[in-house]
Amino acid sequence: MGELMDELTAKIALLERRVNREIASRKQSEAILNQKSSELYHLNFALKKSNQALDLRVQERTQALELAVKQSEKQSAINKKSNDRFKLAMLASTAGIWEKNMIDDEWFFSDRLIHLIGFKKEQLIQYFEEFSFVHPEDKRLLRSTIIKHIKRREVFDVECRVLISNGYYKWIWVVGQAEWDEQGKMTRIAGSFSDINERVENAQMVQRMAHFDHLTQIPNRVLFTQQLDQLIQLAREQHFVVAVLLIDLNDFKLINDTLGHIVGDRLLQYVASTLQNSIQSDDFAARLGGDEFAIALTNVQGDENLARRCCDILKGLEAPLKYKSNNLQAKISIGVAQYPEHGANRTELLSNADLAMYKAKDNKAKGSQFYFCEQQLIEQRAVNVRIGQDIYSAIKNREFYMKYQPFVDLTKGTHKMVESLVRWKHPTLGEMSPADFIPIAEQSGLIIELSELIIEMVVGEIPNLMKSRGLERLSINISAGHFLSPNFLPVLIKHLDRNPGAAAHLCIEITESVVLDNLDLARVVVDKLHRLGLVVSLDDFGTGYSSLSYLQLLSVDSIKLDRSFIADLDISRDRRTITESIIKLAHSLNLYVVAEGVENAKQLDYLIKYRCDFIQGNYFYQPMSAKELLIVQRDSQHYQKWGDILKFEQCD
Amino acid sequence: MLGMIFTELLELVENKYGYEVVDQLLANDQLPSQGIYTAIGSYDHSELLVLVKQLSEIVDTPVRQLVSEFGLEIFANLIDSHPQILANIDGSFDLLSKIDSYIHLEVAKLYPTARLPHFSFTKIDDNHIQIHYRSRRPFASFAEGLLLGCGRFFNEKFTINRIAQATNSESDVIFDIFRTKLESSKVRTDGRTHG
Repeated sequence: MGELMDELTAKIALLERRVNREIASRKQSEAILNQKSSELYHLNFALKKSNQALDLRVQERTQALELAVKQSEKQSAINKKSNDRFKLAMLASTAGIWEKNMIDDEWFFSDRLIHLIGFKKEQLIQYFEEFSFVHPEDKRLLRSTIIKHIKRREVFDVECRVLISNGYYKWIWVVGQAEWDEQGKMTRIAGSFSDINERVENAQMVQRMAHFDHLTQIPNRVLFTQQLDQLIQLAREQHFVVAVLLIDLNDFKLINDTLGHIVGDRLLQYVASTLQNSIQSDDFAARLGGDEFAIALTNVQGDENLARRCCDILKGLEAPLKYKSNNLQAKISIGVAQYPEHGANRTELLSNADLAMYKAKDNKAKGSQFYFCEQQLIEQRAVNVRIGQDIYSAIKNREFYMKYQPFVDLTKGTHKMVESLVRWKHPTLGEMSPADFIPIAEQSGLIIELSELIIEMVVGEIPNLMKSRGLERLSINISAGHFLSPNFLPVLIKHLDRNPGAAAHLCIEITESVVLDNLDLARVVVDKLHRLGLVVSLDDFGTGYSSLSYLQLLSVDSIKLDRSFIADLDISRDRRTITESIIKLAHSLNLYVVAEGVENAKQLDYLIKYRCDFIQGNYFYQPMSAKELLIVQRDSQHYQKWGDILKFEQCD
Repeated sequence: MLGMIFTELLELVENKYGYEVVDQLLANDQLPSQGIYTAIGSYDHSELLVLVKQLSEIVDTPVRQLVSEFGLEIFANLIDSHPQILANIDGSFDLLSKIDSYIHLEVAKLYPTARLPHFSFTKIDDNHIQIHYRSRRPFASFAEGLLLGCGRFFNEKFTINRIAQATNSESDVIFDIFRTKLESSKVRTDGRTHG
């Protein structure tokens, strides 16, 4: 029993311990659960907060996304509009558009471009990639322009010729623009092709018209000027000689006047093409205007070489131009100036070649000639320029004065006619011959002013000289240029008005060149002079063309046989025959004949024999002052050997 | 260490030796928890060693054997407590191959502070594998018991050779495992064998 009790007690104690342990375990579990519950609560709270924050973020992101969508739609609409506008512009534009996308390796060509060039897209791709449709002369320019654009971002804008499907090249204006990514790698390049063929061809035509002579199709003065300047610059840098040839056709005006302008033009074309064929590839020829041409020669190997080349040019023109029934022989005069010897620039060279050309022209009677510029010529011109300046001063200072040389009437021995001759005593050079200063006055454009001064002096002297018994008419020399100038008649009339009655005592001497310059105008002037009461004499007859038809056409009153005829009278039978014939012909036309430059008795005898009307020359009188003339006139009254004075007849 | 291991051990001891033995074990004053355990608590693993050592003395059975037996028995309970583990498992070796990569990963989610051993899996052939056990704690025998429990759960006989990586090591051991299917037995829905 006691054992049972002990056992029972032990079991109870065991159970009690077990219960206690279970209770403790349960409490521990509860505590843990409580702790876990609390942790869960906090976790849940944190989660809620996190969820709320997450919701807020989602809301914000949603709003941002909605905004982005709206903006995207808006941008899409703008892009569509822009795209539509671009498409419309492409349709409306005359330019063809091209594009290469480097990323996709794709080409795009607008319909306009395909239409403009005329090839299919596959063909165009090949052409664009290889540049094979670009004109060989333009490939390098286009390629370098593109490379500069891509590497240095310079402007891509070039004009070049592009082959189109009909087999011809067209001028195309190519512009382009590349795009690069942030690493500087090109991603795209696009641009346009514009047809500028018409514009370029027009510009080329204008350029050609501006630089080429229309008639002869060789370079004109403008182009010659540019090329010569460049050549001189090159010669200066590289130290070589350049020869400038100034070429003038001899008597071209005569050809124009006698055979017509069409023939004249044809001759100019012939000369131009012959000159072009006579020169080497580095040389160039031009028509400067009228009948004036110029050539610039390079590779000049001394004067001998240059002379040979000039001879070649002359030889080229030896063959006549056959035109219809005419065989035209072009005769030319060439003046040659060389750089650097005869001038440092174009102006000097042309000016000095001109000097030489006039020297060549002096011998034009011998045919085509060339003449090399000489230092002496240049120096002479410098002297002439100074004298020209002195003439100008002399006109202003009235340094000129007149001398008078009487004509002797061979039938009566009287001298009713006197030629007035201008004289000038240069302040330093002394007395100068008119043969020296008149040409200079003509070259320097002072001849008209000088002539006006002479008119003034002579007309002013008429009342004084006419006091002399027996003197009836003074003659005065007027140059062709002055005679045909609009100022001549008004100035003459002005001075005649100041000296009433003077017109009836005045004779105007002109030369044949007035006829060559302008026959119609010359006739008008002669008629007016006649109406004013003047007489007109043709001076230096026999030296020029000496056409007797001019005498009738101009209605002159007398002719003056040139002194060259008179000088040869006693030594040349031919001259005598010609002189006699002229006098007879003149008389048959009711013209008086004056023989100039009579120096001896033999000449006088022949002239009396040929029934010349008047003689003038040192054999009787040298030119004299007005005062001396009055004395001579007075004395002549006393020493009259030739019978009674007959009245001098007026020739109008 | 998970409280469930302690409660399962005590339950097994009670079932096999009676609550008196349990009472003796829990009365040990070397236990910091004073013998109060709950499945949801967590206790120092040294307490388990104290309990097993004392049990060995009481029932006069070697500690290794006790621990192995404990592992063998506890396996089915562990699976019962977490049946979702079997969801995508195809056989014993498949389960064992996924201890580190799947099972312990799920355990770590529930018990973030738990310090879990490593089970490196090497397949030799269809019925032969090696598992390298490494732990900070000396529970290789417990692991061996669990492996045997696994074989039994899938109605297979596991023949396990222990290849200790150090003499008498309980924390670094390679288990060389051959399996044999037990044809005559039927597999219960809970994995336990019978008959």
